[in-house]
Amino acid sequence: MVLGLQWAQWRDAASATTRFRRGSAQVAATVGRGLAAPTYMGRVDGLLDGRADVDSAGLARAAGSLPSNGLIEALGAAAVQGDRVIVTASVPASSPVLPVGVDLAAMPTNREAFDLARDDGGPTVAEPRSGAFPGQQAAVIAYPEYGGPPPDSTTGRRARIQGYLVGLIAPKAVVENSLTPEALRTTAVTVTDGGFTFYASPSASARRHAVSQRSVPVANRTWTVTAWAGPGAVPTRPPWWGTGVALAALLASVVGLVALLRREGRASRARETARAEEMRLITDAGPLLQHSLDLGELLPDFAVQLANQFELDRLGVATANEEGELVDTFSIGPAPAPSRTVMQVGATTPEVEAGQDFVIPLQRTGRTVGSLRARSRRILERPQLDSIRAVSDLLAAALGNAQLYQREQETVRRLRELDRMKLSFLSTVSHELRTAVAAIEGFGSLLVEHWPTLSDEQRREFIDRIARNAGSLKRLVDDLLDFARLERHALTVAPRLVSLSELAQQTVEQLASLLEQHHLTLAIRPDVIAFTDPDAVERILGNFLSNAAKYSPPGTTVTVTVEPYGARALLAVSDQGPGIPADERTRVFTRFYRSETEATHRTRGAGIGLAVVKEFADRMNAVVTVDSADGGGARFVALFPTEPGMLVDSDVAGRPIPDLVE
Amino acid sequence: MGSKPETGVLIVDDEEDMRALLRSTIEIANEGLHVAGEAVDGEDAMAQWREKRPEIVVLDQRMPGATGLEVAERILAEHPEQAIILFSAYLDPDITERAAQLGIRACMSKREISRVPEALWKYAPEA
Repeated sequence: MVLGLQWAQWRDAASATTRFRRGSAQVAATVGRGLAAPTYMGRVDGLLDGRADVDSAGLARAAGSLPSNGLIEALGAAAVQGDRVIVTASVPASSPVLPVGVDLAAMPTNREAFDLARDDGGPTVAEPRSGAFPGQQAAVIAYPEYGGPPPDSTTGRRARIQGYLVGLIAPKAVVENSLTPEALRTTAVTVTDGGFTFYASPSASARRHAVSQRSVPVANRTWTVTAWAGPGAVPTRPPWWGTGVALAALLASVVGLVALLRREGRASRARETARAEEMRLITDAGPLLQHSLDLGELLPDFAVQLANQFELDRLGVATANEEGELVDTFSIGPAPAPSRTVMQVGATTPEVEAGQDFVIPLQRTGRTVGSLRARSRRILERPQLDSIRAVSDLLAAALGNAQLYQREQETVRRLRELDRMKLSFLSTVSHELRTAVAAIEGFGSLLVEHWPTLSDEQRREFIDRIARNAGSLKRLVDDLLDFARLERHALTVAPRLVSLSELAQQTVEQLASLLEQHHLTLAIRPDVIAFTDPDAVERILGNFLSNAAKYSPPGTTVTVTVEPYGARALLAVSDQGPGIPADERTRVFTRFYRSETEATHRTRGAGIGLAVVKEFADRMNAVVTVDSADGGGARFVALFPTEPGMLVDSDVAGRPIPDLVE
Repeated sequence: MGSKPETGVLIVDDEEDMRALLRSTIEIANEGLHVAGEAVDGEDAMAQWREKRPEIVVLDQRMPGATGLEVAERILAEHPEQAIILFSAYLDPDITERAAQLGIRACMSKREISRVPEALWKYAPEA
């Protein structure tokens, strides 16, 4: 009798629990439907027809023609302005949470969502952040607007992005509208995204009992709606119901076990499906990666596929440059902050937690050709990591091929450039040869034909001009001979111990005519010895001086310096001309190179002198460089060895001279 | 020939030596020719041409900025009757053909300097 009563009362309590459970599952489903369908935003987006330049009235018209689902608190149109995403219109008008003129991308989580939406071509919800919007827990959903249908490739989408349709999703209203006030009092409901709680009903602090849970996809993210029995939802049980409770607990655990087994079965089927999709990704990616030689085309589409498959919200590929340094080549989403800890994934890594940055080195025949850095929204277990590593191996092979191809292209480009420079050199030289010859012939025939009628002053001037042009002719012929020698690699040097001070002094005296229009200052310290070829020093100094004469204005000062420099001897020529831009300083020593500045167009010269200087220097273990003189002009420097067999440090050769000069 | 009025010549060349050679040649010829102006590039040439309205322009082909042919095209667009002689260190058929199309009166090599006064007389407009 007692047992019967207990059973009846227990049955009452159990059926109340069942009723409650059905009810709260219903709640979760209703709320879930409301969240799962941001169709309202999609339809507004459709009405805007991909345009980002809508005004507030237009936005209000588009929004007003549709019944709201209560999920969207505010709606805005935002335009991309460089790195910023500026709200240009909002509904309700001048909404305090989406004010016109504000830069939504200033918040890093939003920035990430905008970048993902842009790359993906579809709606994206930002990672929620506490306190992001005053007075409520909400997140931004962004629809990318390209001024028409989204372009097919990621590169295209990045190029065409105009702005975003932006909605503020706050689930509070949806939850509260889907429950009666009575149900809301007795049912605890929370809506969460990972560890972030969007909504918690007033009774959500109650102990969890008879829980019903539902995962809801909201664009790219997954929100969880949890409902459980709050106070008063199920009848309280008198203590003498122990037997019933025990029985119920037993039954519940059996039911639970069955449910668990079923869920396990479902989960393993889901895993198999996911695994099959991952394998498909690898088989699809293989041929694509093997056959594509252009990294720019290959990486974006590949990365988007990979990101979708493994729910990566950040993905970056870095490739090794010629010096072996890794340089970011492509990324989806913002690059991870350098301060974040990054986990290195290898063959034995068991799993990577959700939200953890990880890196996989891309290696080919033992050489690192790049790295793949990413972060997933879900836990990646061993099978997924194996798949990602398999794809990484394919990517490494592709990068290797692409780099070889790029290097070949680079060689072809360099050869073409050299060819172009040779042609330009020959055309410059031939024009200058003709000009010099025409001047000599012309003034010569004026002298011959009109000698008796010319004044002394005219005769003198014509003879000077002939002499000067003969000098140019000589330099041009020297240039041509040097050109031929450089082509044959036939410049020879015979270094010996010489006084660099005396040699410089003599050379400057011989070449003083070059600098007739400049002030020449000598800062030559006595008795500086160098182990070098005197002819080569003359050619080097001659070239430095004629450059200074050519490229610095008349009336300015040219300084020649000779001094000891550590264990070496320094010879420098500085001028007060425009100087040489930092990015051109190594190239000026390249054959046929002439700076593309206004000054060079006004001067004669074939662009070979400094290449000869470099060649001479290389053969004597000397170093030549150019940097800036005090006051911004150019300073050409040669550092000579001071004894036989002295090698110039490679770090001296590579480092800018000002660091070394006291 | 002395009955002709003074014929002004505008010399356009970026090389100072070449300008001096032309100037001396014209001055020494002393046959009613005078140098109206000297310009060092296309912009300078246009400015001086507009200001001095010379009877003849002697244009170098290879200069920094605009080439001689480009300068000639601009001058002839404003004044199709302007007498122009292209005076170049290097004349190839493409250049002479284009010069003829534009309406340049003659192309001369810089190595024919002694024939310049003669050519100037030949192509100077009749008064």
